[in-house]
Amino acid sequence: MGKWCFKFLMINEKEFSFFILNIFLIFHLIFEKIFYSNNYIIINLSNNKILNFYYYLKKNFNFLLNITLLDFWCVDYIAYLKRFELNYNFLIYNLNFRFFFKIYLKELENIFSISNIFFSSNWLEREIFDFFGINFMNHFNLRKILNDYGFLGFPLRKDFPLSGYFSLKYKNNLKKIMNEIFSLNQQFRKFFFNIWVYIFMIDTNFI
Amino acid sequence: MDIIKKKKIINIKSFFNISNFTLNFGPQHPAAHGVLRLILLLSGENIKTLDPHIGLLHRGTEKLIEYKNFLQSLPYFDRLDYVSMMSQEYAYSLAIEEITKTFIPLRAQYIRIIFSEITRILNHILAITTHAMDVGALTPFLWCFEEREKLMEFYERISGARMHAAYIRPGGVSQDLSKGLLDDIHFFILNFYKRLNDMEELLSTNRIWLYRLKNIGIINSFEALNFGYSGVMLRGSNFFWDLRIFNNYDLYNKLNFLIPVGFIGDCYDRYLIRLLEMRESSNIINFCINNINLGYIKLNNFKLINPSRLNLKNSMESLINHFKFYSEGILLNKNEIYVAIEAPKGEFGVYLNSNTKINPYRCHIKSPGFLHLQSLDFMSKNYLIADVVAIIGTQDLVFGEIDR
Repeated sequence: MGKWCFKFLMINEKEFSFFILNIFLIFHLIFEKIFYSNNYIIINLSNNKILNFYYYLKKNFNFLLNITLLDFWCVDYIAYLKRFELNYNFLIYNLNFRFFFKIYLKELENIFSISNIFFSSNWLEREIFDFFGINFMNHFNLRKILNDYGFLGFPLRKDFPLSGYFSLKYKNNLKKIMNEIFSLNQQFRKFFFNIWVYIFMIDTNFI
Repeated sequence: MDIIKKKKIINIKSFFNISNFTLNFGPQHPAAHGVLRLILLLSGENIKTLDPHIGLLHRGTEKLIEYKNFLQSLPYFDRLDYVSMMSQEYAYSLAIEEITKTFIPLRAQYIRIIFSEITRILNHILAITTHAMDVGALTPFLWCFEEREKLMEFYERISGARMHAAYIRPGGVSQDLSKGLLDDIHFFILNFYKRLNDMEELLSTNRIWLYRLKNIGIINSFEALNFGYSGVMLRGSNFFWDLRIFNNYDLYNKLNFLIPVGFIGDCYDRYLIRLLEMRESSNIINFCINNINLGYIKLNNFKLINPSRLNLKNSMESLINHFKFYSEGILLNKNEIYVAIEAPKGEFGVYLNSNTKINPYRCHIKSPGFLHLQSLDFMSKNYLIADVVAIIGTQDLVFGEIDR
């Protein structure tokens, strides 16, 4: 185990800070906010034309560092104008360091796809399109992935109800499966016992 | 042993108006490992393109978690990858402990590691034997599932449930080990090496197994990194990356264990890696059993943990804590965290956002199988259909975590 390890531990503080400085000098215009911790860094990008940046990240350091896009998800902050917060999770294997990039989008805003640069983002972008409705330009195959074949709507948005709008039922008299408007006999109850936090949230206008 | 040569396809298509044949490798198929629908575009029996349709087991886990407490959303994680249950609970519990910045007691860490390695053995047994069954070897499945039954009996002894034990909770584990459990685990491990030898004798040097698995599904480390592989798939392609060493969670930095890494990156390498990992897991369990200490199994902080029943019946504050814990739930700070562990299938990650402090505002689950299945098209270009079955088996897909 020690024999395989030493390739990674040889990178020292100096080279690492050189790498970070390199990125900051060139792209300081699009970095908005940075949170730096022990093992990871969270960067808010202000420009959603991010394609050049990712291309740079992959191609310039390809001989030196191994970078992967490990994960890509979206959070819906419904109270804000820029409601969708896309998070990219990159891992640099040689430095054991993770980058989290955040991009904020409005409701009908488009963003470039990075599936030509990082191949793992293919299905991840399809999943975000399926669940949130964010369109990725230049993606070669953007269609639904996890939802049903005729499904309409974007489930993981905060204004989509938990039970959905339609229910799929088998009609015995017509002998086929049909969509029906969803109706429950009992009203949907949300159990919510922490009243003091609720009052605090109303005060700060957050729900 | 012959090397499989890729056949030259004679171009008579334009003369005879021959087009490629679309075949549906349907969701109900014994070799499709759960609900996987593949649309294969074939030319003869070679695959031109492959299009997986997933989502047939989609249960809306991430949406449901947003409507539940932090404790109520723990059992959802058991049901994601339903063959290696405790590793996902582990990731979620680590996420909550990172947000609250707590350190759990030593005994709880030992117990978590023992059961996480038992889970690794459970998963690899199922992966190898069902892979063998798809390829055609029916005996390892029968022989090794008895070992799985013995391991599930250990799950039942600590938590009450054979499979979905909501046992590893934020703040430690839910109950202490019963008397004699560690003796029985030790006895199981002693016999387990012999069972592994039996299975290896059937498969590892078998002419048919080698012929079906050697040089199939080769992927080199550069491509593997590009597709976001992790775990056994990445180690098979000669790239050393294991989150138990590099992410350093709980007690793994104190353990000495070897990590097998493959050379070529074909299915046979990954099969050997899984076998060796099972042996290493047994060594880790032995070490933990020898070195476990007596002590607490949960934090002492009753704002995050339920108090024990003895305290509950004797103390007023514990009664209040118990009531508030089970009705309101725990209250976290406004924070977001991403935690990844080395699940048996790869890197399993949990992103937890506790914006409203009482429930997860967004919980995203990064499953390793999703990224592995994405590259199935790339891995199986120009192979035969029978090879696709072998490749699906070696990617160790479980649709609970892919479809969520």
